[in-house]
Amino acid sequence: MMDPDVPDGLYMVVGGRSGTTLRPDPFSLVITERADTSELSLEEADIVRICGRPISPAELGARLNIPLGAVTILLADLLDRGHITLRAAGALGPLETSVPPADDRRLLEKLRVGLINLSV
Amino acid sequence: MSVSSTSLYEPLAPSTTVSLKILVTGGFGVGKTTLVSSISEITPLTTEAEMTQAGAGVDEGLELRPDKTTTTVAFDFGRISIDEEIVLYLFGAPGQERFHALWERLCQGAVGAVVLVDTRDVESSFAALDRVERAGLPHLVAHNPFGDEDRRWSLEEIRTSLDLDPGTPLLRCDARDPAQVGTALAELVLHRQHMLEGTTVR
Repeated sequence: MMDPDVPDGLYMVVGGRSGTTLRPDPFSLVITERADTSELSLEEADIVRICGRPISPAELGARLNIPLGAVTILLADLLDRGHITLRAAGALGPLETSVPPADDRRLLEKLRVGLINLSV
Repeated sequence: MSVSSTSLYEPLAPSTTVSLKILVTGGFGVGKTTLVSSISEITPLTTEAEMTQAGAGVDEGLELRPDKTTTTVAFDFGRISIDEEIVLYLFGAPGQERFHALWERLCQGAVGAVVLVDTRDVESSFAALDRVERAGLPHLVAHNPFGDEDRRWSLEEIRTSLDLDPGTPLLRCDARDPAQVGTALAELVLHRQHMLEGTTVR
């Protein structure tokens, strides 16, 4: 079954994958766990290199000029194979285990103070 | 598509472990992209998401390319590194009903929403306001004034014309001014904190 987020033309880029169990939030953070790119496609290898520093799927898509739906599928596959990991604790949906960041009182206070400090 | 250096990608600090996100919404041409641009540490980026629902029209920061099965929606976003641990993503999304699926997905887990309004066209703010209210997303309304004429409206007049809930914060915010935008975002976070504590907010 085709993923409704992925139009036909992107089917090649994502290696024919169409069904994923995990859809990382567009603004969660991904980071490389295993940097070995020997068995990866060019797109996947690029992602693994860029994710040497934390980055969100939305930002990855914009930087690599790959639509969000395709990035999500590439990331899900790399997650399955242990190349990358997700950092943000709560923004995951299916894997959500703890308090979502947006409900975490400590994080909210740090965010609020940080924003005030930006404006002075 | 080869990548020689990650520095081209304006990477986050390696210590960044948490991302938070805030939606910026409002009517057509109200300044969503301007607001994101004024405070983002990177030049705002655009990413494309595919929609199965057909639609037509053009909105600020939004481009539609209909084809046989999908419509591509581009949305803008920027980011702010708050400290060594937290990055805040700010994303602009239109309030139109036809973007329902994308909207739901983007807003899930958001800290809240800034609804930008402009008194030249209060009507166009209703759709966005209605959506964040129905989604139960904590939000504040920011009046982005365009010119002196627009500044003559008092906040009370705006509150009345929008039929705003008394608990919904309303402030004036020049979307071009990073300090005012920072203050508005901090107010939104405070609003969420109050909601979490279950207290009545102003």
